[in-house]
Amino acid sequence: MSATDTQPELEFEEVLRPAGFGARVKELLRTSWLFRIGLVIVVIAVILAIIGPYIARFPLETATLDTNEGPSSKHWFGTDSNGFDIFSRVLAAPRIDVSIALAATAISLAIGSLLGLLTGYFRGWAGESVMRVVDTIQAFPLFVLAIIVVVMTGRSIQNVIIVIALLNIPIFLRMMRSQVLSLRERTFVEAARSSGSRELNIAFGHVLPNGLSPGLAQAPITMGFAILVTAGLSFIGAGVQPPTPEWGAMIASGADTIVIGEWWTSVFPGIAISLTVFGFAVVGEGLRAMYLRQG
Amino acid sequence: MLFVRDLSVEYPEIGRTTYAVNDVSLDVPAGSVVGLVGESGSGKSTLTLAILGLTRGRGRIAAGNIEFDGENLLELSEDAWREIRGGQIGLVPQNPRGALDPAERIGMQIEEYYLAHRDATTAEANARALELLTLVGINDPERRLRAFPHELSGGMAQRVLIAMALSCSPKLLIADEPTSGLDVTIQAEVLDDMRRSVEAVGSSLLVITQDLGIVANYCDRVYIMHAGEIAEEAPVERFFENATHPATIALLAAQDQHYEHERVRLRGLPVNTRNLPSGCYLHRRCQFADHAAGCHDVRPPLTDVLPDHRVRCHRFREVPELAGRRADVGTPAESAAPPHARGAAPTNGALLSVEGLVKHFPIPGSDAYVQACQDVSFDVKPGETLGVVGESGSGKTTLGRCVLRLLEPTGGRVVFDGRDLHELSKGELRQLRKDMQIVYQEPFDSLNPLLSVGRQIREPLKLHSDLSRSERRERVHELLGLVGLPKAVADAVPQGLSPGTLQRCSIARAIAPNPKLIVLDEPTSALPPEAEADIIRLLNDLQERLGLSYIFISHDLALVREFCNRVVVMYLSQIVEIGTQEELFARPRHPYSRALLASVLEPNPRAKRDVGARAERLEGEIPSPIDLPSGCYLASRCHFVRDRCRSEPQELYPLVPGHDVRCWRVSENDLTEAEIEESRRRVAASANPDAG
Repeated sequence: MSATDTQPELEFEEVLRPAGFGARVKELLRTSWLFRIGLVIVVIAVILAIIGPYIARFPLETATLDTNEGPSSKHWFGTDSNGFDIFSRVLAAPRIDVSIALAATAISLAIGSLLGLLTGYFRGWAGESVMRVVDTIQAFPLFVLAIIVVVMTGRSIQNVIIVIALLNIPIFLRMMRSQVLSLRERTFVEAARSSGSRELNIAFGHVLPNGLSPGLAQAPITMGFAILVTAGLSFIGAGVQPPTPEWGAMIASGADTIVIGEWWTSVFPGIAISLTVFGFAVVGEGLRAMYLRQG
Repeated sequence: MLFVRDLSVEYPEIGRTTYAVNDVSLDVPAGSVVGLVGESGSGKSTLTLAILGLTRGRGRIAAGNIEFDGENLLELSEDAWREIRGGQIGLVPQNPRGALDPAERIGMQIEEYYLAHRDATTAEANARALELLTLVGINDPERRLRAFPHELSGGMAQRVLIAMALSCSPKLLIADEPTSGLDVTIQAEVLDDMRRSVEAVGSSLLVITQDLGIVANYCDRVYIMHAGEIAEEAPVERFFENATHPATIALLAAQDQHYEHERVRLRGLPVNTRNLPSGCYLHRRCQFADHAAGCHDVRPPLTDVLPDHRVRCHRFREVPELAGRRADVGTPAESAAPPHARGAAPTNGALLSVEGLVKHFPIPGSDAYVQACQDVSFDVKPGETLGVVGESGSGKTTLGRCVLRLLEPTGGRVVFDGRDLHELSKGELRQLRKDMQIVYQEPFDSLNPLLSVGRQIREPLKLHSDLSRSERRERVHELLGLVGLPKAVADAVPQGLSPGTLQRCSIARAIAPNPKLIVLDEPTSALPPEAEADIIRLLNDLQERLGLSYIFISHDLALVREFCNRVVVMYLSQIVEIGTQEELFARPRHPYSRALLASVLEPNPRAKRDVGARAERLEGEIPSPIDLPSGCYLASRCHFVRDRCRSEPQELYPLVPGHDVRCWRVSENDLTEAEIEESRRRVAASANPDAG
């Protein structure tokens, strides 16, 4: 307080900087223990996606004779019918799951936002047609649509990414579009026009940046959802194929033996999926609440 | 009646406490009208809520007492409070639309209010509601009782709230900025009706306002608040003529163009009551703060200047001398006439000429349309300021947008600098935009919240000049200097800057490409009074230095008079009168212009709006712009209406060169001064009984 007293007199108000993104996230971390937990899970998932395969204590895709062993001090999560070490594979799977989800989310965020911007800012028949296509996509049960598309185009990681991206484009498109529809009426947009800016420059320079926050806050939630879909597709055999370490495929491989008491093959990857999806969802919710609070 | 003594209200929080109200003493004697004036954040509302026993949240009354009608309110039980609140003390809130329940008929709402305090039958309550609506001047009260709030105009909604607050004949009525959202003509009517109703019921009135015109015209005594304390209190005439507190003088200087101490200003933002400084709370903002006088160390007591004039300032004896007189600064010639009204504007060819401009907004799904501009023609000469005045809905903002072709007009021509804007290609139009700019009403909305101010000022430079990156940066600093801001503002984002500063930034952006014409769309209406005066001064200054032409769109006639060479008066999409500032303000001819001018509240208690001026007021409601009358648009509201007015659309008739009026009675000399005088006398006579 004494510091403010000795301050030189200000002719003008102090130039206040609003709390930046970093400061706001820090505030969120301070106030929400759920967000803290979520963030820890997300960070671990991302780290495993990078180094998971390298810290495995056992070869990931080489069959051994130690089949169907329960959890022990050697194999912490036990082994499956091929003799793979489940603990190593659970740690290595984010390489596939998180990467697919990340790529799919990034693609849908980019394409969805772009289309949302264009259909919202330049309204016309082209934009309306895009909206009707989007309606059609959203009218299908998502998982069924995913299965159909993957089966039709072939089971590859690229196709899984494309399918999940396609499923999520409508969400980001609608979010951006609703922002743009209100932003385009704001005075600063007309001010840019009256300065002589081109419409395209106004759309990308002024409207897009102001409309991004809801989409960015939605992204982690979509990530969690994408992990779930990836695992789901692999579980029914439409996605990643064994022996590639992937949580959904691992659950599937243990599904037959769980009835005879060999639960570890499915349960540990299942817990991994739940935790990861939960972590991403909580982080996304936190960011979204933050965005809603402060705009 | 109401005696507040040494009241302090604080909001304790961990670490630091907000001292919202500090040692406030305030009296509202029976039958008087008291004004409470202060910037936003000065503690006016907290004080009001404390008087009503509604201190919010963690707030607590730390000291003092509130005596009302012989009782100490602070010792009352919650039940007794409830009886007083509404029953004995009525409140007219600020936002009339938000204060009414949108899903209930207004008759029901008034009855409910009444029945909460009176043991009456529904029929009695209903009769009371009808009586009240008549009292507050609502036409056709039986029908209005059954109306829903959305069917009422803002002025009517405010009247309903006044009726509600008066329903139990309270001994005190508190009006919290009762007209801040209303148009000028409506404002004067609502205030007249409120004062009359209050007198009829025999209440006292406490008016909270920032508008000194209201204070001068309606109040007997004034309190001015700063940082939660009373800075000065005085009877209204002394307040306007012998103010001694620097904050009061600054306020008067900002709102009264003829005020003697015109150079006094308070610096910076309102004092943060969370972190009150030592000494006088205002010493950092005050240009007269002096170590020797103790301004920095000792909090000044509220001292008697005269028995009924108190001031909280160490230097109150010297301040009026230090503040300097109007004659001391500037040349007498300059100060005698309003700065921009001197001499005729240059007469060589028009910079902008608008011919027969029409703008309709179609209503989707029907053939109907909203008529926003109809047959609007005028010229703007280089270096001139053309004022466009009118109430909200008169089409003045649409006109500004059409002139710049930010909206496509439905018909007519706009010729700018010899080029017809509608024959230009998109590219040519973009090029031409550097010559015509606009400054908007809402300071927060007109700048992109994400980009730094500097970047936004650079944008037009990038488009219209071939300056290098560093030259552009240099130019931004230069522009900020021109609008009186430090360079550091270039790096700030809009959030966190005050409205006045933001408006300066918008002006800097507008002048960046060296335009010839700037459309000023109510550039000061969202600003506090002090900032408003500064912006007007700045615009004047820039016009002189840069030779700009302005189209100044405003509903504030005092500003238009001070600032414009020529004035266009708009009513319901049409120009009803156009003339030079001197002509129009000295001798308005059209009945609408007369009503508009008569509704101005001068910040001078010796020039109160008289009964005669009230006679000019318009009757009834503005017609809908979708369904306009076939004759003169004013016919249904005009005192001087004839049959011909109802059937014959009115042309803009020239009176003398440069002065046109859309009224056949004026143009054919049919409307005489004698008739106007007669009408004034009639209203004065009918106003007298209920004034006594």
